[in-house]
Amino acid sequence: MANVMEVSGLTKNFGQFHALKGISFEVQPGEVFGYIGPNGAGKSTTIRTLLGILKPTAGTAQIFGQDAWRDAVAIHRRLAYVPGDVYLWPNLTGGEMIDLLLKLGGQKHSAETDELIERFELDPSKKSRTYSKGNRQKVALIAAFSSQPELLILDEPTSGLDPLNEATFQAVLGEFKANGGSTLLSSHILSEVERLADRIAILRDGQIIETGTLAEMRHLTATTVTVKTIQPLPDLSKVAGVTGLQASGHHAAFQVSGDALAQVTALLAQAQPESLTAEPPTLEDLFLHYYREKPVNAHD
Amino acid sequence: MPMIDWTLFKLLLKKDWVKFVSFLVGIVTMTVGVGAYFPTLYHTQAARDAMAVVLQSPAMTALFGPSKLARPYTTAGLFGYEMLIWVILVAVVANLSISVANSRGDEERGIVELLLARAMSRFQWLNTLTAELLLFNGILTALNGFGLMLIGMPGHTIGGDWLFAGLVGLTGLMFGLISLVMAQVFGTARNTTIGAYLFVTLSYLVMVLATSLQAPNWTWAAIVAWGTEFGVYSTNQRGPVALLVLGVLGFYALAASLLARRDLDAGLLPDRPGAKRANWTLKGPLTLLVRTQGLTGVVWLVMIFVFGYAYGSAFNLMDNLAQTNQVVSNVIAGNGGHTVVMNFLVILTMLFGILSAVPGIMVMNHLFSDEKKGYLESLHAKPVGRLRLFSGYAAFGWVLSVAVLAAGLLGMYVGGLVNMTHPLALSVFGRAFLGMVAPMTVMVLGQGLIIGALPKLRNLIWLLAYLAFFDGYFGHLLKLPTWLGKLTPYGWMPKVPVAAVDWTTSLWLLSLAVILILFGMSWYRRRDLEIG
Ligand SMILES: Nc1ncnc2c1ncn2[C@@H]1O[C@H](COP(=O)(O)OP(=O)(O)OP(=O)(O)O)[C@@H](O)[C@H]1O
Ligand SMILES: [Mg+2]
Repeated sequence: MANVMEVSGLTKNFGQFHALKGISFEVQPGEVFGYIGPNGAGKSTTIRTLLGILKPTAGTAQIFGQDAWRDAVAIHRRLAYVPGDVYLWPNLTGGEMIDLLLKLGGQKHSAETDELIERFELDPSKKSRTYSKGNRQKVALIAAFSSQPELLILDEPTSGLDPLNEATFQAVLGEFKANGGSTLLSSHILSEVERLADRIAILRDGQIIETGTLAEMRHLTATTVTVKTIQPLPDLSKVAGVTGLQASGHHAAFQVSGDALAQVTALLAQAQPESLTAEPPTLEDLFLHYYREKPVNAHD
Repeated sequence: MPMIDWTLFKLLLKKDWVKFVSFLVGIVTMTVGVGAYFPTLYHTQAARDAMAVVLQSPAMTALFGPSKLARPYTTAGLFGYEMLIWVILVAVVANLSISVANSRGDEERGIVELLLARAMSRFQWLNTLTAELLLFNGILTALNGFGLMLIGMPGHTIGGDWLFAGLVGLTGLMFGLISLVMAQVFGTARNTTIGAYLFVTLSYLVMVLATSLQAPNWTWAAIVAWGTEFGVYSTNQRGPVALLVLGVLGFYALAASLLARRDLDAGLLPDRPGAKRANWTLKGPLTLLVRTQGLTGVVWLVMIFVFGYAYGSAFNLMDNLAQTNQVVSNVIAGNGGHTVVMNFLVILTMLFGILSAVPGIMVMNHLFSDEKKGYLESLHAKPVGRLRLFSGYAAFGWVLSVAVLAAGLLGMYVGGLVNMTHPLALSVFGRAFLGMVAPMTVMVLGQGLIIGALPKLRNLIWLLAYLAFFDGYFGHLLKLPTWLGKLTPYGWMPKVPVAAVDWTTSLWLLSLAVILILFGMSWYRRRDLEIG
């Protein structure tokens, strides 16, 4: 099947400022695509360009095979969006806002809408201006999920949700995915992306510095190993790919890169490990790894 | 703890200086510019006497407030009476704008929460805002005072110069504080603005009604017109200045005590729960506008109708006066041989034509501010084209403006119908309406172009409206050059309803409006939307 979203060489300048510098990625049908990056990396700018709110300076963005800028209205019939900061008309209630958003997309308030309102525990009779940030986000989430889109574009959708509601969000997104929906999920909450995303793109200073599955990316970073052996430890400091070694007699703790793993385990086996833990890198480690160790030329 | 937070004070000035300078320049040129021109208008004592009679006619006192003109009539005396209320009204608008943006506006943006979370008390905050208003009105008073001294109109006294300047500054300050009170009562900047303007308009209306129904005691209830009670340059009563000072202190105390007892981010009026579901009326951009802007629209319609009624009821008094006083009919009527009322109607028609463009322009501005505030972001992700959104706002704004124009003229008609022995025919007002629709449309749809293409310049339209108003009101009085009026669409129309509607002019004005809005649309479709 064709990709749901296809972005290639997407560039966006605000005057002299280069917010996006040639971004390319694609979202495949049925997947959750995680889009992560630090503040100001250009996540929201990417998303607004995808929605036809901003006009690309160069490059193309296609959704459902149509141009994101030119065919915005046709595309929007089939997707739903939750902004990072949800602002609602102060004098409408949450319930009215949900219904309005549904009607604008040609849909109606359904039993599913009521169910979502219940699951997210939203009081729809309150005026929007009295809602907290989390509650405003719930309004947008409920409207988005109950419009039964083919594609969801979520910009840090859970930044204001409490843990219970975040769990609800993850469950609802899981069901959406199980039904074949595709998702672009921008987020800061790495555990969430780790749990939900099939593939990930890491954005920094308007450039994508890595794309792939979590497993592929893990390959590029180090596994943390702590070990206690019966025999004296072999000298690991000579092994290329081992970093941060702290060894004393029979104890050692270090990081080892994916390609040196085979060699290190062979060495350790000779020393008869008594206990051994190996932690795969978390997304957090990946994140830090990319932000710290591979600085791209941020400004020219 | 100091009374005022100077850091915030400096920050406010940094943010507001453009507003400060433009309002100051506007108000001071209005005062000093017209003042410098005045002596050339009334050379002879006879001309001044005639003008004084005209100004003391009920129709004029309904516009300018109660007359305290005293013999012998001097140029300065006429100036003091004719100009004071208008300068005050513009100063009031300036103060409202500064005050609402910094109080409820900043609270809505969450800035106040940040401030109060630091070591700043509520009262320091209020005092700092008050200090900014004090500074603004202080500078205004000084500039006006020195300016009037400098031009030294015949018959002026230094005491009179400073009384004029001081009344403008004090009334401005008082209304700045009144809007701070409103900011405590209402929970949103929008409602605060509505509340404050409603108060100003009501207060002006009380004056109009009190003078046209000849109930002078009631003019004291018209706060905005307090200044007119002082007989600037005529009797120069300075005692009642104390009243204004008392008003200033009173409204400050009221704002402070209300602020002390309310929650942040909430007004005094509690929020009632609303509908759980949207009813059938809320389903698209246009109906959304009806929901979000409808109240403002209704307020406009009602106010303008009452306004029209008040003027309409003054027609009768004017008619009688003109029949009995030849001088009056000469001066107002000029040489066309029309009746006094009809000429007065020309000015009013112009005023209503300009006023009615305001709500439409504000709706167009909302397209930009709703976009800025992020309200439209979730709408833009829906299958709602930008064209549809833009047309929705433009259509709503235009229809509202047309309705406001009609309501104002209708109010005048009804006011005349009820109070006049020989009421004016409805067709007269129909002509006024048809004459004003075209220039008003150019203003509203022209603002559509600005919002679509260059929203940063959106405030320039007020300059245009101000110019149109100035020319319409004072153009004849001050014998301003005709090209000045031609800078605005209103200057191209013949003087309806006395003159017939010029269909050729109407047609090209309307075509111009359509072209402007089409350009606006195509720009709006092509530009980046600005959020945040
Ligand atoms: N309209 C604009 N004009 C100028 N610069 C802009 C504009 N919009 C965004 N930027 C800049 O572009 C950069 C990317 O912003 P963007 O909002 O896309 O970041 P983000 O990755 O979403 O960050 P966050 O995690 O904080 O939401 C920032 O440096 C921002 O200041
Ligand atoms: Mg963002």
